[in-house]
Amino acid sequence: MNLSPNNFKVGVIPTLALLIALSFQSAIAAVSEDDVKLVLLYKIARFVDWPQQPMDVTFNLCVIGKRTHKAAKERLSGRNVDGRPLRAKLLEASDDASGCDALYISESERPDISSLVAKFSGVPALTVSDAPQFSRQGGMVELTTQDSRIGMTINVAAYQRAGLKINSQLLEISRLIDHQRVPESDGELP
Amino acid sequence: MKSLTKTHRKHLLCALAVATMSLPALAYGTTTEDLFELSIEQLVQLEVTSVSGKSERLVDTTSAVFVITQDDLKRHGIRSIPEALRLAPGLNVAQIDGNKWAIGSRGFTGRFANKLLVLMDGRLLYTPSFSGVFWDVQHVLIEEIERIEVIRGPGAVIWGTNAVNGVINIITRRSDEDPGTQLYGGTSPLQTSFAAARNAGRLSENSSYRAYIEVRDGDNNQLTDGSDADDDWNLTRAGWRSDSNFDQWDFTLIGEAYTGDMGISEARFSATAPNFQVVQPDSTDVGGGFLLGQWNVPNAQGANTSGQVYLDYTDRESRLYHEQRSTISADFQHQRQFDRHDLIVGGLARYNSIELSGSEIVTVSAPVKRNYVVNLFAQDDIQITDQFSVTLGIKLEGNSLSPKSVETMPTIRALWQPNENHTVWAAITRSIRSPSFADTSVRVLDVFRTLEPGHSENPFPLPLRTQVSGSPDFVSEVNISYELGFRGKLSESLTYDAALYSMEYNNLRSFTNSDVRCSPSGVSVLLDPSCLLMSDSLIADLVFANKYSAQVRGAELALDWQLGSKFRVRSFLAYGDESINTSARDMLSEASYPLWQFGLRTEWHPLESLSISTSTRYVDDVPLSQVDDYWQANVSARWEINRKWSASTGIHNLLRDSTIEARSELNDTPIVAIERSAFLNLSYSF
Repeated sequence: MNLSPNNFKVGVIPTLALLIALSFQSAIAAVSEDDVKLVLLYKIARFVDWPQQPMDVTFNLCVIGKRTHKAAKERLSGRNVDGRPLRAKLLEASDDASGCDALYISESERPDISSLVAKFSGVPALTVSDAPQFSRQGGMVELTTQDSRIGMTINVAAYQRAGLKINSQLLEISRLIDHQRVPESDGELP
Repeated sequence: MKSLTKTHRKHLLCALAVATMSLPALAYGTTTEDLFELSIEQLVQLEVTSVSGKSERLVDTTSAVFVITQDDLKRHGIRSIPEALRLAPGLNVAQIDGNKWAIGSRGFTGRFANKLLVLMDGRLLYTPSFSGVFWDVQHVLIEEIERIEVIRGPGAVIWGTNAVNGVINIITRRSDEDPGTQLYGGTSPLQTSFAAARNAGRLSENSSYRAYIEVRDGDNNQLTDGSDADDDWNLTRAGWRSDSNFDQWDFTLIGEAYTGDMGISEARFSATAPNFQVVQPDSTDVGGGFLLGQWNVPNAQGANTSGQVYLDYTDRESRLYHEQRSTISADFQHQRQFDRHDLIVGGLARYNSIELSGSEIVTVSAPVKRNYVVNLFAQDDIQITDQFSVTLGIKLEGNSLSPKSVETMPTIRALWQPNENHTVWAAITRSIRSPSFADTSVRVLDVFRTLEPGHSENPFPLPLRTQVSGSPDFVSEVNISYELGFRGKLSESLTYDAALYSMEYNNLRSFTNSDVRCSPSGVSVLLDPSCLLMSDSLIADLVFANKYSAQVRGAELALDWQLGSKFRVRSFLAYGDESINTSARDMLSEASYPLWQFGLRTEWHPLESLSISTSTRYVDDVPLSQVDDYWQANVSARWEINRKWSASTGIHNLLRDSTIEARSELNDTPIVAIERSAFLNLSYSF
């Protein structure tokens, strides 16, 4: 290969342009993990076929974790899930989760959450958490962060047991585990 | 300037096209509101910064914590735990020779630093035989480390006794991560090379496993006079872990075994040699292993019970001594949340059997072979208002090596979060460093350099040697620490973590001169001065006592700045001032600490698969240990070539050909200068 100075210069311009473009990319891509998780939580709720309810019954999104609750209240209030107005409700560890349609347990806010995960993973609501191993402990949707990207692990047995149906579009982009059966090849369903 | 040629123009157009294509992307994603416009597929493709996520987990802690992640280890080409600890702000990590390290936090760094507690997966790496850590054998396949939590300051209630000025908690990853087979190999920094293989997969529907074997080998460094330091070493290690989950019960079984040998140059007394000292090469044969079982049972109503049991065996044999130590340890803890309380209670029972056979240099002065430790602790985290919480904790411990029946370690901590971006915390803690086997029962000759006749501290006409003896009267060292911390976000991309501390020590270990004896007769010079005539040397008897008090005061500031998702800068500045209340008759056994330390790490991802990292540090001089101040830097690059291959390469100790970072506080090993080294690591998975 001829590495004459002229060739070198020719290469410099596109390289620089690419770097400039990359730095623009990085500027937009620097969104906070928590913001993306919050929006994902809302989007996931919209991918569930909810049991028929009158339009004026609020959709109760219960949140364990004060900061996430505050963010959910500010940013999700006024939005609809299944045509019902969303209401973000703060849930304490000792509270009853029976009025909740969906429950989010924020592990990024409470590192001591593992016991709560087990307690709330069995409620009939859609359970979502970013706690590690949440889906293996019986939770329905686990938000994971790997290589700076948020992913979802869905426990099929858990949401089916609760009588919920999740749209296949969401299932396709998630990692599926079925904690009761088919654990081969690390639980991936075809 | 020449006009643009046709090719130039074409490239410019091309560049403009690339830049314009990225513009639509600029239009959204800048606020949370815009994120709602993205599809779920786009959301999962989005690159996120986890700075806030990680720091938010730490926002609620009332101590100075830093977490080293697997990502950090990979990026910086780290192959050993001491090197990894260099990534933590405020810790003082200095290499003595190829296999010996001095690691400390907030004062008293040394090869035998005894106030820093080190754990791996809940197993104590801190040894009860001499109160300290044999860093040469503390290892695990680096890829298996999930994170290393570094706490500067006390942590006895939750972590254990001897967590006086710091805790290092190494956590390995679960075996269900990264299934498959991986091969690793290369030359690693600091004249070492390694090869390792790992396999992980499923055992059954509910269990996973991993197994690994690693061979590591370190070359000789050089003494300051250019000769071989004889500090070459090798270590072979194999490990296993399985994780099972039955009906929400989690079980973990971890086992490892290792064997190797650690070269050492020993300075020994010789009546005929110049300086009365000869340096002999020797090696310590090391071997050992452990088996650890852990279980975790979540109960209803936000409660959680966990426990663990382990067996640990350590064997070290050199010409000076042969130590065989077995440990059986069992502990449990129960966590419960109710109303505004988050309560943890727990307890531990540990049994150590220490068999030490010595030589003319090392002798056992008391037949203590068994050591029992029992403790109980409770800690309650009370959320008083939304913004304010208080933590009260206490640990009670009994140790058969201590003359005192029960030691009390209380702590009170408070946390105030005036708003969601800032946290202020404060703590007062009483900690102890409990007596070890060496403190009570071991006698070692020639711990310090022999003083020649005519030396200012030797009034006798013969060379004066030293013998240090443990004492059954040795009691725990006591510390009361006061901490104040500030932590938070200055902007979305810039976080800070600052701490001020004052640590008041009492009962610190000292050597008290009790007698001077003629050698080899053993007659006291004070009783019969005529014995000088028939002796080749004198031995000063030094006995361990608790005669010192000291104060360490300092401040630490760490900043973490994320510039977009491609560039991250982290830096710290640490100041720590030891003031020791001296007395002429006694000598302090602690090593000293640099007054100032500074560190700067940069991480840059020009491409998705490529990262380039640097780490620079400044360490102030330590006059007591005769170590000069120095600047040092490492640079490394990591390239994820494809799904199978990845490579890292770089240079450690870039700024200087060789650096004396530390010397052993005892006069047993000569001074080694740590050299610049390049490394190349490859990993292949299939």
